[in-house]
Amino acid sequence: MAESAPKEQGRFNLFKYLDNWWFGKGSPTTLGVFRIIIAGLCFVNLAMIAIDFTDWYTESGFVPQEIAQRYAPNVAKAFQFGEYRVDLPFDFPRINLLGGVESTPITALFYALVMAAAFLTMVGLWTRLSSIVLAIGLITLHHRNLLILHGGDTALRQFVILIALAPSGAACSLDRFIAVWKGKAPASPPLISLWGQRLIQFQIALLYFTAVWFKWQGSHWRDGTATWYISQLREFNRFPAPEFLEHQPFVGITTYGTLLVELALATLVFYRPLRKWVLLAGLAMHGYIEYRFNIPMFAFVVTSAYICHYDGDEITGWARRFGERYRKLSLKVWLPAGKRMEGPRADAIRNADPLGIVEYREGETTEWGAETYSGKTRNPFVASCIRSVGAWPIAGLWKKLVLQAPVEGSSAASSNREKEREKQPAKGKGRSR
Amino acid sequence: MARRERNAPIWIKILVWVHVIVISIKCLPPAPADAIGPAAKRQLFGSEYILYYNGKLKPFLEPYLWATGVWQSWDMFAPNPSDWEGYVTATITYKDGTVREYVFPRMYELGLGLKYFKERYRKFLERAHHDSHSWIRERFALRIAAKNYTDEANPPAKVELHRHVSIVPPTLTFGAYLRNLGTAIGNGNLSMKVLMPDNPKMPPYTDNAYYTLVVKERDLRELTGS
Repeated sequence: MAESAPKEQGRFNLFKYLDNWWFGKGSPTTLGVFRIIIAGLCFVNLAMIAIDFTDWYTESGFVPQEIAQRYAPNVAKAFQFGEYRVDLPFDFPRINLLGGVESTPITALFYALVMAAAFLTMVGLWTRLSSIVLAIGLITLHHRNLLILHGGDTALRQFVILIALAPSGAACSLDRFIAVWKGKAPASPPLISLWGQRLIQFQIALLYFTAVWFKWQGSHWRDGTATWYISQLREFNRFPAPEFLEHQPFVGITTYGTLLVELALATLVFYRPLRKWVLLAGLAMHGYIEYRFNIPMFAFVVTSAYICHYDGDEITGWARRFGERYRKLSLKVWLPAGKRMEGPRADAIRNADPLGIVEYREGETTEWGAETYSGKTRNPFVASCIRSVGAWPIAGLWKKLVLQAPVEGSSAASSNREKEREKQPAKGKGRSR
Repeated sequence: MARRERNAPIWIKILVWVHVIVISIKCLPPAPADAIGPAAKRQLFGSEYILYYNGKLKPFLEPYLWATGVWQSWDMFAPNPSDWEGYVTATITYKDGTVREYVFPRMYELGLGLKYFKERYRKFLERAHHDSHSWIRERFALRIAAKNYTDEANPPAKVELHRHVSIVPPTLTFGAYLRNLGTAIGNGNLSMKVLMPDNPKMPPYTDNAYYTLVVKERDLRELTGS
């Protein structure tokens, strides 16, 4: 949990409070989980658009370079300061590595590279590099063809940029698994400055706040008829909704309800006692929009950011409580006699199980074994992999890793070594920025 | 006195605050059009002054916004949802005189699964059909011709774009509904018609040919690589 701001001389210091809220240190778990979700959504989004790649990204499609560049607004280079006008001698560049590129194979290769970067960012491998490549790649693709973008793409781009800038690989990543395995990082992720997570919270709040302000300028949102118009746009039709929802008073209820929920998502969500209810209302609103209207990915992208309103410790706590509640999913893995799970490799294996439902114990036989909660025997490697969410990206290597993790020796000797280890400071390169 | 450890480097704090301020300025809506400019019908009121002066700052932010990709605007279905319900078809006349109708992917007619993947066509049309982007039409028509160029000996010779439009009629406002309800309760003649009033029917689509392209065979071959 972010460290609370100290009160000076018993008085509330707003600057210190804001500084601590924005930049105070906390668990990187939230950012890690958000990184997985948003990069995964980005991958899916790119895959969906790739189906019509020829129409959208080639010279023979609807948006060749000439159209794309004419549609993209010029970046201002003339500025007016009162009576004075300043004309800069150059255009401000826009990130667009495909600017002027007319070759379909090169564009397709670039597109595939961005998808690969999305996948690597999702699993957290070479996270800093892959997330930066993803951000630059996605910005490029958006600038290459602005005509097909909707609000979900804009939100996705903001989030991808933020996870590239923030230390989003500090938790829930293969990078971290490898670092712990090699003994270069401690078992518990080091605290990081939470500015990245705060920026995401601010971004989503700004999205909703300005959306409400924009809408309030419209007569239909004020007079309670806005959702009637949207419901009549057949091109947005998806699944059917009960007809009464398209009549007053339900049109008014959904119109004003949308404004209220969005305003709450910009304001009340920061008030902890109401946070859960506001987010649930947001999920309900977006859930209905996703069901009723054909606006692909928008609801998923926007609601994925809701997780950033929770501290990393809260998310870790949820995972553990989930594991405790669903005990029947638990698994005991019996190590061969004379082996025990200790050391950095064991820490990495255990870290891959955020629910805490896999327990590794010294066995009495020479073989590996596993037993479920109900006493059924299972293949220890397959069963532990299924139950360790962090193992899924490396499922092909899991058995090999688990076999390499244990160390020799009895548990009596190990408890003495544990005590010695606890006395020593943690080693590793846990960077926090 | 022991030096207090910073929670983040100063340069990060500066960048974060600059970013927060810039995107906040960018995202705020413009001042109402009827309250600014030489044709203003009324004066600015209250928070509209914030929007007015905020609008003057926006041009200075464009280099930062566009260079970094953090440009954004959250005006979805705002200020008012569109009342334009429509789709585009093309009448393609081939060299030999045969005529074929082409429907630009219309979400309403696609299956539930397919429309989710093809939504980009609707978004493209939302912008491309607009009169303010009439310069896109030539390419739009040419691409449709290319998509329907299946016989080398019989290429499309002419493409005529048609807009099929139905404008969503207004319905009873919430305020009017409440007034009617109050009156009905007061008069003791509450009915289903008052509780759940009927909506106006959507008018039929009007067909309007808005652009014609005489297709040059050379352009077609260049586009299709044949």
